[in-house]
Amino acid sequence: MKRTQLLIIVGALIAAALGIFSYKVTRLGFPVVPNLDSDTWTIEAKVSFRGRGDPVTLRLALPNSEGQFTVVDETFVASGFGVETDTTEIGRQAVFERRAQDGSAVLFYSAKLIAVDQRYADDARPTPEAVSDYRRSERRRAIEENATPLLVALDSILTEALEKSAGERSFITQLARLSADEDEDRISTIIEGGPPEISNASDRLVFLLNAAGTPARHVQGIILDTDTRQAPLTTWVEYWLGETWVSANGTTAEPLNDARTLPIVYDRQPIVAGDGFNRVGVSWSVARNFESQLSRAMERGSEFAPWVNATSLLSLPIDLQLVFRVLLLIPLGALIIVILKQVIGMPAFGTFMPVLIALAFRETQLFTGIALFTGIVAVGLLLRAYFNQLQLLLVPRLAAVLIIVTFVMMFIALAGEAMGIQTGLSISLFPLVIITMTIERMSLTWEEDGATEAMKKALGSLAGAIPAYYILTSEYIEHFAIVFPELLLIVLAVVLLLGRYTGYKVTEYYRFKVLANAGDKTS
Amino acid sequence: MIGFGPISKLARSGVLGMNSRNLDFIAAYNPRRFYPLVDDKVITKKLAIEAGVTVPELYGVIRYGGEMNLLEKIAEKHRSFVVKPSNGSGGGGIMVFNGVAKTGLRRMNGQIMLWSDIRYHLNNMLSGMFSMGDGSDQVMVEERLVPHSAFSKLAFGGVPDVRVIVFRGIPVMAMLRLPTAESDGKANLHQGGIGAGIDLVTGITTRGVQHNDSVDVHPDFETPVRDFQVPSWPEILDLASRLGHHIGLGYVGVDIVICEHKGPTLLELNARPGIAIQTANLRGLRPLLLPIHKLPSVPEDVHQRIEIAHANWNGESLERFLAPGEEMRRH
Ligand SMILES: Nc1ncnc2c1ncn2[C@@H]1O[C@H](COP(=O)(O)OP(=O)(O)O)[C@@H](O)[C@H]1O
Ligand SMILES: [Mg+2]
Repeated sequence: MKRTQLLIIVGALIAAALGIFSYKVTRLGFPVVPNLDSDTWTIEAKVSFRGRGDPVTLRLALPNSEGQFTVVDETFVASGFGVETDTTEIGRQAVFERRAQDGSAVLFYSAKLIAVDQRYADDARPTPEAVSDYRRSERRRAIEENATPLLVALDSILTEALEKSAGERSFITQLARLSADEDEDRISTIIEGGPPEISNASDRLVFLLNAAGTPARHVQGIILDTDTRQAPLTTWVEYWLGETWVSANGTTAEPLNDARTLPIVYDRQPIVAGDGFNRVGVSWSVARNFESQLSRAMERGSEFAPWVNATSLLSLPIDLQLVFRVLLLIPLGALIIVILKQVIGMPAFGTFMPVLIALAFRETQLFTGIALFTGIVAVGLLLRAYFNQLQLLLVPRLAAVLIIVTFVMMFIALAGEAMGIQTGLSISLFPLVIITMTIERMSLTWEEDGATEAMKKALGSLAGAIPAYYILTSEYIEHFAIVFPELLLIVLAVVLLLGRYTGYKVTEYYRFKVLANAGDKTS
Repeated sequence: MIGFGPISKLARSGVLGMNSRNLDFIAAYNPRRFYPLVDDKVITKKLAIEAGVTVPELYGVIRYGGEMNLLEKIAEKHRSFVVKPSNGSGGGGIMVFNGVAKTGLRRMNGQIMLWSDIRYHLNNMLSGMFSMGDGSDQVMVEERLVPHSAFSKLAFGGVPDVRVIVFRGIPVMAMLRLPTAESDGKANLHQGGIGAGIDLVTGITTRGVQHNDSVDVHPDFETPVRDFQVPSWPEILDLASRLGHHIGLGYVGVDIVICEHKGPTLLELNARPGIAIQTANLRGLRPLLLPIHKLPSVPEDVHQRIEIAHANWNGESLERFLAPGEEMRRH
């Protein structure tokens, strides 16, 4: 009776999951694998400043649609200010104006960037020209008239780079290599004699490239990155190669990934300009949205099957989507636990400890995670043993361990920062409570069942956390979970089925080996 | 069942796995609402007295830190006693004392435990550190049982006990648990105690295991652990069967100490008895449980139940125990 009921429920769950899934894939064209390159991004700028009671005009440089991305859905939040966009020869700008502004104010700008499929980009763009007073023909003439040290050094550097290279690209790399060495005589001559701004490596590279006749420019913009929301302004260079601008590192001239660079201003134009204010600060942030193939599928869905969109997590605001990306992995973690406990028989602390540990590792990366975890737990165990000697009550003792673990984490973060290791951010998210609970349980097991049992369980918990970690960090699984959450019904079905699993655990085979073998002899 | 070699071999030997124990026997036969009856040792004691079973005398119960002086009074009066968390498990927190000194109480190993240490330990017990579930617990103080002299060369520094698995009031398998130096006087198998399988009919031990390995002699005395006649065996079966029938749980482990003075005495009941007993007996539980599971009803008379237990252990059919007109259940 119970069995048939269960089988009906399980069957229904699987049928529903597969039904919705195949409809979404075959009819609406939802992508089954994540398309990792063509995506859309949301960028935000926050401008804060202080007014002096005078009229304010503030010009904020904006990204334009001429490069790899099309800028859409621009919004401005600027209460009390008039806003308009303006395109001049130095680029696109938002102009915020107010008759009088006293005290601090904050303005917001946000926009969506859609990656332009380069196959369809129109290539009818004019070829730019190198801007320099030192181009080859002029340089030759100038040297004949008056061989200044600057001109000679410049000529020598460019000739050397040319000789050592085969083709435009390797010429640029050679030039960057030569230009980076500031102690070299010719380079220091160029720094002394050239225009004032070229003491900086990337400006120097731009100067040299233009002198060599390769159009190049200095860029200030944002590197789009999935890992952080905060996006500091970065500088790099662009040079014209064949028929496109190539973004490249300002010192090495190594090309950057075009799909991940968003230029905002060129040639050292200011990001914010204007008058009537002081103490201005701009902070940028970016977040990755879902793939454009997906939004096309969503568009199709809104025509044929509105319910798909209404129930899709992709219609949620970005912040919530980010939360669900983690949340939706928890059912999978639970499945792993059920298999580890019910089918394999792995010893571990508590029921969901391995998955919680794996979630913690998601923040720290596996190896740092394991190292931090073992280290902090070891320190915690020592302290707990000491508090035990002081004869403290249970709850205060736990609290003391918790407080000290907080300090240990703080210390690690500070030490990491001092040594220039980026542990700070990740460890702050490393769940404190999980560590404290582990310490408490481990020391109890230690006292009652001995060190071997405690170690066994600790290793079991870690060993369970590792496969869980790999599953919880897989980009494909994350994609599946958020695009096809209905597939989690199958996970539910499997868990329900395992709920009535009465077979042996793998570890029981080892435990009762003697009995199994005794059966051999008698039969 | 289809399965790959090793697993199907295990199935043929009749081993009861953890999953099957939990679903087919505990979930099916032990209603959750009866758990407190066995998890709380104070309630178990009351029930056992109702069923006419011998128990260690309860000297007192400590509920709050402030009642600590109760312990001093009991110590004065009885001198020899045991302190344990009422909801404890696996021997956690238990302290056995056999004398009083000025500075504290004397433990079995002769050491004196200072009053301050005792107070700290009691507080830990009261805060639920050794107890199942979360939250606080109470501490019971009871009579110390003295093991039967037959065990003087078989139990090291502790109290040996007999674990009987009782299914629907019928004893199905038993083992003798012997403390060793390694297990620190505790009889629990996972702490290094010895488990000896017992012939359910005669009460004679058949083999011993320690840490899952077969052992022939007790490591601390070099005395053989097999072919030992457990004293008062018929009374042990009687006690187990009576109690198993009386409480509402179909599948229980009954732990019995054979006391020098009181004879077989109930130590505790367990609603989730472990499955290691199968290794000690080199016999799977499943073939012993299934025939009893198929019985449509179980006799009220304890002697008849023990007869069934004997027949079942010998692998005889249980048809002859059916009441007129009754039929075996299908599954
Ligand atoms: N009244 C007692 N007299 C002597 N020893 C006892 C007594 N009660 C408990 N013990 C010792 O403590 C161990 C565990 O006790 P038990 O009541 O089974 O508690 P738990 O539920 O923690 O296993 C016993 O095996 C025995 O060695
Ligand atoms: Mg016990």
